[in-house]
Amino acid sequence: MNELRPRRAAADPVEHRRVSGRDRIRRSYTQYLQDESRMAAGGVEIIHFPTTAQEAAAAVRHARQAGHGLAVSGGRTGITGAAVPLGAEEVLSLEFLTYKPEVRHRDDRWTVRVGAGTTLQQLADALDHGLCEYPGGRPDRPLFYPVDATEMSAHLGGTIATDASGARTLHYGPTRQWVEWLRVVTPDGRLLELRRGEVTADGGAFTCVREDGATVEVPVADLPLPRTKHTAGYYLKPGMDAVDLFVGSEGTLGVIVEAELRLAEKPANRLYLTQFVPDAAAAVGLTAACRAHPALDPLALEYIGPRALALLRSKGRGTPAYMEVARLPEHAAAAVYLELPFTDEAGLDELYGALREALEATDLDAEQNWAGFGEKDLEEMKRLRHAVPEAVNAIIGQRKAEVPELHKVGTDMAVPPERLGEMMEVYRRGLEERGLDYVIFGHIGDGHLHVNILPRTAEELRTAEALYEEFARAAVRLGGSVAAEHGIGRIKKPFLAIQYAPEHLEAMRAVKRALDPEGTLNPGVLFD
Amino acid sequence: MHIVVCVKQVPDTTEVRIDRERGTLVREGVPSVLNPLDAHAVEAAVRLRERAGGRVSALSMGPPQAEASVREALARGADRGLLLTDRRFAGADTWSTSYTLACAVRRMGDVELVVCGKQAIDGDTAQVGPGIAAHLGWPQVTFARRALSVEEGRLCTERMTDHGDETVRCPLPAVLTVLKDLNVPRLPSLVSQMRARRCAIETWGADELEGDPAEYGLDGSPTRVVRVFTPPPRGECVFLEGGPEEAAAELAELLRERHLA
Repeated sequence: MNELRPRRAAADPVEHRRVSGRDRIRRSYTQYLQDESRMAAGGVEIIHFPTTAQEAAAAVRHARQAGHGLAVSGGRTGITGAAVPLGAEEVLSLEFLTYKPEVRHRDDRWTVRVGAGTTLQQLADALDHGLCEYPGGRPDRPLFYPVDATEMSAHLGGTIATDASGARTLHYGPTRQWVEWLRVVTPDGRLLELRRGEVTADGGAFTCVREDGATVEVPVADLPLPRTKHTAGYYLKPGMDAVDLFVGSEGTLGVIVEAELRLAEKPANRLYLTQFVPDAAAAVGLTAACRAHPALDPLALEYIGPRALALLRSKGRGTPAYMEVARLPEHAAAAVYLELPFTDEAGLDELYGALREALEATDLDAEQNWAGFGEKDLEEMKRLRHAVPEAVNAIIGQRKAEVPELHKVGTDMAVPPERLGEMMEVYRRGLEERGLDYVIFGHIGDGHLHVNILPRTAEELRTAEALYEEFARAAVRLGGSVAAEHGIGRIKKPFLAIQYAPEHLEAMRAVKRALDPEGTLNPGVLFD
Repeated sequence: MHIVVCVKQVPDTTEVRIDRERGTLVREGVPSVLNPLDAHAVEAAVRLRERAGGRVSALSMGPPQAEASVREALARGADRGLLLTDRRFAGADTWSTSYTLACAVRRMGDVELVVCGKQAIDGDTAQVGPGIAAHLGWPQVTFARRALSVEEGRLCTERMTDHGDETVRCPLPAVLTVLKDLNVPRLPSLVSQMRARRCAIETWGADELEGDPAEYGLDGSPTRVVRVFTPPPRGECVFLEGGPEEAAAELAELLRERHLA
């Protein structure tokens, strides 16, 4: 079955909450005009605050009838400006679409149903403390939602719309793999329910039934999707599931208002290990050795490069990771962080043996690391990693005082793991040749490192931006992605044209035209 | 030099909730951790050993599961682990706890220095370190915060007092309690974690200690907890609404009314 058949939402008996008036919104609701990117919109006419899916549908209908563009607003933790209502006259905030998460056992798997406005943190707390609804009984083992996008204040709806990922994506995959069911408000203000496996693009297209009964064909091209983490544009594959059309579509094809997510069993025990290494090459070597070892299946494999570690060392007291920096072994130049599950003492022994082998194979010292088994150890090691972007932001903040237009240039490319060494050499050469200030850190196990360039002058900023494009081309040449996890939003649109040929971009536009002919949802996101 | 470092297993305070009806801490399901200040005590002991040689024994008293904290001290560099565990030790207050720990130190025989964290984050009394010194009849140096060393058989450090820092030198044997400013505890390596997990922890009960059985546990504790309660909230809380100027004017008015400005 390839038919998308949205239903008309029940008439709105009560007018949903909203605020209107450009001046008032600009004065008192500024947070809805910006997100974690540097972008901000001047103002909008209306902000809707629906509390039910029906109310959200009514808000979309309202915008469409008024001929307005509508920006979808979640936790606004994104950094590509996708939630900034530039070119939109109305905002749809999903923050009140929350209710108690509902945990069920269905077809041999545990799922949780949530409203789009529930945050990752709220869901984690509810699962940890047994504070969900359990209509069919409580699970007999601890469960968790394994997508660990760094910002725990992100709304689940937003994480689905952007196919969010995090450190543990290495093992668990991105959000896409955990979405079982969606309730979506379509651009014409109806409600569409999709369960994975029920609607697929048979014959290379979906058929969408319009409100007047006519049908529209939604063509599904065969995009050359990279084998890496990838969040650039629509996911289009012949025979694809309709759920996947909406996951990662950045709110341009429909508004996700409710979802059912799969849950994973919590690993019984975990070993947290921060291994110090002499240089970037050793980190790449250790990563490869861990990936190749049959007894090692890390949940996360992260990297802090030499310049990032040096930056942390140059920071004084009073910074959040001061204690961790003070503990760094004297000769630690760079670090690789691993999170490894094990079942029992015998499993730990096996894990230890495998780790020793991986370390020996790469000539690394098994004493030059931090290891722990508890939440506290995890927190301490996390603090060190998270201190890097914080330190970068602090430095940029200082430089901005001199040159206001400055900002950091943060890349988000991934390449297949076996090409990582080459990509790192491209980074190193490009950055060193231009004499730029930079740090590298990120998800080394996924071939996905973030280069943060810290320009000192306006000229360096321009150089850095040009270099970013060069890096993006190199990543695509190596079979990678220009946007592995941050998405495209409003900021990274030029990179879509680096990733895809014109006919592929046209195939995406064709999907947008078929589902949202009037361009109501998130105008300016993904496409101009 | 044989150094004993005393450690305690405590509930992770970031996870502790209050039972509002009973006014007590809810400890069920709360993970246990090594008392944070004890990590500084272990680090101090290990650094002294690294400079002066000798060995470090980690000592704890508690139920069998308190062994985890002894193992953590081993992972952080202690050479030997010892847990005092016996039903007869249960319910001990700080007097009885320090008596029991002192008995163990005495029984070890060759101890020259006992190091403790200033206090545990669950009881917050800061009495056990000084109690051990009292029971052993040894001098004590509390609140060490800087420049710890052993020179010519004397313990040297700077300690915090209400009136400023004090530089002290103290003959050994002695008892030392440390503040978190003293050092940054190292994190254990993989090799030391694995060694600690495989290490046998010695356990001693009341029969091994050669102390006065009447001094152990609840029976030996003069302290009685009569009631545990949450102090009533103090005063009312007023939220000032409106823009900064209105709120500031209203605040000024309120402060004047109450003769605070």
